[in-house]
Amino acid sequence: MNKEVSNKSVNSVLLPTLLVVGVAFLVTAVVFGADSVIPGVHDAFHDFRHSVGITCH
Amino acid sequence: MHFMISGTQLVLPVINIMAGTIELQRGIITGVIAGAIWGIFTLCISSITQLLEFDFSFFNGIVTFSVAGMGLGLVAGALYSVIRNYLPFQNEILKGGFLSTAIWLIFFVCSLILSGTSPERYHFHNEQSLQGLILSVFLGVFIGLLWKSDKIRQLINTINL
Repeated sequence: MNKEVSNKSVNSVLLPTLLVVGVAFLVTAVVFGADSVIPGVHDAFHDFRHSVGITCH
Repeated sequence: MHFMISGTQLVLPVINIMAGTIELQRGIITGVIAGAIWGIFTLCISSITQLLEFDFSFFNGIVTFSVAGMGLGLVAGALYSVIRNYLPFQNEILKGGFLSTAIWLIFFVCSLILSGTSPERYHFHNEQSLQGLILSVFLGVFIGLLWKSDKIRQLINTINL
């Protein structure tokens, strides 16, 4: 019973936490246009970056 | 007596406590929906203000702006669900606005540092930064509005998270 509750907690907290950390990393790459992290992200999100006022070329 | 406690045994009670007090999934779903709306809202405002020359068409922008908005919204929504009780306002909308502006400021200060270290690569634009600051408030406003919405709760119950 306890193990069942614990597994449910892992699924409901740890997995979303990992998701958030992963997405935060990707968002950082998008915001700063880090092509070295995600190839092509600079050009793809260039308009977005300027629109939200982040420095860019 | 056994004093050997595994790492899992140490972490699981904390997780159990958190699961009952913090609605992380609600924050994530709220943030993703709010972020998608905010992304398209940002595209519309940028198209009206014309502070930049768009590389892509409006319809291409719908995809990129909503994807970027969903990512930013997911992070902001998750953070909102975790720290909202510690934010200095009672109103959910003000809390959201405060948090999203703080997140934008962190990104903006980092981009200013990048601009300082490689000015030929990162250019600072006054008007765009002001627009970004104002738009960042709206992300939090959307999160705050959706957080109060019963439909989000119904959605979470429906997909059985």
